[in-house]
Amino acid sequence: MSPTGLGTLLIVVALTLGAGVVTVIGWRRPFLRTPRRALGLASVQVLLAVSVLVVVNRDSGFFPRWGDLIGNQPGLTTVRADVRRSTRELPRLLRTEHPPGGGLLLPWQLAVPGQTRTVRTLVYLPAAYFRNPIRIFPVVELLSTPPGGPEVWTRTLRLAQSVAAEIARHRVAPFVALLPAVDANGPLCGSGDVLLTTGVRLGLAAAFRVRTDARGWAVAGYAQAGACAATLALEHPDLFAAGASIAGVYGSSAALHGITHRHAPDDPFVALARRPAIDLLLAAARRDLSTYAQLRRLAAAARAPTTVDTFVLRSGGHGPPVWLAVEPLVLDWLSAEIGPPLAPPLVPAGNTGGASGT
Amino acid sequence: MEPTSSLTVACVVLAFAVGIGVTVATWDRPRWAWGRRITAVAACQLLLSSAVLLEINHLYDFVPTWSYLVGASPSAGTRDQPGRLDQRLYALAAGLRRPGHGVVLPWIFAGGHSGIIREAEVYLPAAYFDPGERTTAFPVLELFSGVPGSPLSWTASLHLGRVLDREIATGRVAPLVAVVPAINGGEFSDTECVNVVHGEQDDTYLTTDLRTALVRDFRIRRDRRGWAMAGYSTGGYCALNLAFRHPALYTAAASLSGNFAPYLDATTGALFGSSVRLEHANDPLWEARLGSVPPVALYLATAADDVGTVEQLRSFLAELRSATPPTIVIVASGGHSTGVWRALEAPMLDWLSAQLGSPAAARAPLR
Repeated sequence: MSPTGLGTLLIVVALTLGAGVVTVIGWRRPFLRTPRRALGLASVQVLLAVSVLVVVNRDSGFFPRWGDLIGNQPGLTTVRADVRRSTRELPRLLRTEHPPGGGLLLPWQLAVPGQTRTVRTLVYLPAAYFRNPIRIFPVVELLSTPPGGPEVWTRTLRLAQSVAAEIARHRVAPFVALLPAVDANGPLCGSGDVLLTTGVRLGLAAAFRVRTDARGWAVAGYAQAGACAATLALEHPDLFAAGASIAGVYGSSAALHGITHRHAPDDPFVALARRPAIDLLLAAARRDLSTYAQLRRLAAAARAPTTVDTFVLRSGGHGPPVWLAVEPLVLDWLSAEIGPPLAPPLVPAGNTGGASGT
Repeated sequence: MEPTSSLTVACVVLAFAVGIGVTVATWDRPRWAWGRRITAVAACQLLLSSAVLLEINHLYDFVPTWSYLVGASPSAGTRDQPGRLDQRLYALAAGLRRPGHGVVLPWIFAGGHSGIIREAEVYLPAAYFDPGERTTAFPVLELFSGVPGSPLSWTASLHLGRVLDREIATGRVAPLVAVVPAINGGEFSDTECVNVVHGEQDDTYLTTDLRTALVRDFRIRRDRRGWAMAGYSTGGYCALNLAFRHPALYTAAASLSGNFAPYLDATTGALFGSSVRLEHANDPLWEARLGSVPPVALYLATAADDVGTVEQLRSFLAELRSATPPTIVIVASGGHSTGVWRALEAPMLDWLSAQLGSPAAARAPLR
C-alpha cells in the first residue's frame, strides 16, 4: 500500500471522519473536557490537512513510496565508475623519449580491433598524465604524411615543448596526442575510412586512460594531412568535437575549384553541404595563395551548425615556418574544444538506462 | 523571518496550538456562540495549513522571500544598478570565500531585449580567484528550477555550491561558472520559459539577454562549446527546449524529470495564443517526430516510478533519430521529487562538464 494508493486515501479519510465523529460525540462530556476537546479538534484538523496532502500526492505522484517521504532512496547511492583497467600502463617499453618540458613520447604499436596488423604510432603523454593517476585525458589526433611522418610533429614542430609551454601559460589543459604513422592523404580521408577514426581510437583506449567520446577528441594536421583532418572532422561530427587544418591543401582538382558534383575521396565540400555540427579551425599564410584561396572557399561554404574559425598570417609562405608560427594558437583552440582531463564521473547506482541510447 | 526558515514554521505551529487552546477555552461562552466558534475553528485550520505549506517551502525553497509571493520584481533602486556587478561585492565575495571553495553570489540582470529584470544566483569556482587565472574565461552552466521554484531551489535546496565544490575538488568537474536565473517573475504563474505571445519574452531573457549580461559582468566563454543548460521538472523542459531553439548557443542540455512538450494548464494560460506553429516550435517531442532535432548533446534522467516523465521519455526516444544517441539515466525510485534531483545532481554535473570545453585563457580573437 503506497502513499499514492487508494487504500491509503481511504484509511486517512476514514480516520479523519472517525476522529470527527468521536470529537463531536464526546464534546459535551465533562471529564477532562478542555484537554479532550483541544486534542479532538486539533486531531481532526491535522487529519484533514493530511487527507488533502494525500489527494495532492495521488494526483501529482510526487512521492510514490514511503521511503521517498523520509528522503531514503535505496537505489540512488552513487558509486564511482570503474577506473580504466589500463592503469597498468606502459608495460615494458623498448624505447621512450623524455622530451624537454616533461611528459613522454612513446613509439607504440597500436593494436587495431578486428585487424591482425598493428599500426605504428607515436603517443605523447603530458606530465600531468603521471601526476593524476585516475584522470581520463582528451585526445588530439595529429595526422601526417610521408616522407616525414609523425616525426615532423615531434621534431620539426617541437610538439612536446609547445604543448608544455602552453600548459604552463594556462592556455592549454593537458591532453594526450596520438600520431599515427599513416599516410593521411587520399582514400583514408573519405567517408569509408575507419582506421583513422574508430580503429585507432579503440586501440588507444585499450592501453591508455583516454576518452572515447566525440567531445574528448579532436583531429589536426598540416598541409595535405591538414586537409585530411578537416575532411575527417566534417565527415564524422559524431566522432570528433573539432578539426584543425594548418595550411591545409587539397590535392584533388575538385576541392581546389570547389566543384561539388564529383565526390572525390577528399572533397570537403560534399561533407560541408551536409552541415555537420562540428567546429573547424583553418590556418594559413595569406601569401600562400592556393592554400589561402582554399581556406576562404571552405570558410565561405560553411553553414550553421558548422563553425569555421580562421587564422591568417600576414607574413610567411608555405611550409614549416608557418606551421610553427600558428602551432601555439592551434593548440590553444583545440584544448578549448575538447576540455581538460577529468576524473571518472559518478553514476547513480541502480541506473537501468545505460550509458547511451535506450 | 523568511518564508523558508524553520523559525517561521515553528511560530505558526505555536500559533496553531494557541489557537486550538483559545477555541476550546472559549467554546462555551454564550455571546455570538456559533459565529465565534466557526471563526475560531477556521482560523486554526488556516494556521495549520500555513504551517504545512511553510514546512514544504522550508524543505524545497519554492518561495524565497515574502515579496516573491506578490510577484514583486526587484526595482533598480533597491540594489546596485541591475546587470552591473558591484566591484565592492566582488571584493567582499573574494574575502568571504574559503580557500579551495567557490562562492555563490546573488546577481541581478536586466534583459536588454526582453526588458525583464529578475534576481539570479551565480556560482564562481575557487579557480576564478586564482592569481594565475586572471585572464581565464570559464565555461558556463545555466541551471533552471522547476515551478514553483526559484534560483534558491538550486543553491539552497540542492546545495549547488557545495556539490560543485566537491566535484571540482575531486576532478570530476572542471572549474566552471554556474548561473541560476529566475524562470518566472515570482508569482506562481508558469511561462515555461517561452516567449509568451503578447506577454513576457522569457526565451529571449534566458538566452541572449542572459549571455550578454553575464559576459559583461564575469570572465566567461562566449561560444557554444563553453555553454550548457540543465534543469529539473519544468526547468528540464526549459533546458531542452531552449537548447533546441538555440543550438548555436549551447553545446549540451540535461533534463532531470523534465517534460518533452510544453505543459499548458491553468497556471500557464495560452502561452502561444492560438498559434499551433509556435507551440510546435517549442515542442522537442514534435521536433523529434519531424526528424529535426538539432545537434545538442542530451542527458535525460528520471525515476522509473515517475510515470508521467517516463511515458514522455519513451515517446521521445521512439521518435528520435540522431547520430549521437542521448545519455539516459533511469533510477529505480524517488518519484517526481527533490530526492531524485539531489541524487542525480552530481552525476549530471559530471556529464555536463565533460561536454564543455576547457576554461580558456583570453587571447586575441581569431579572424
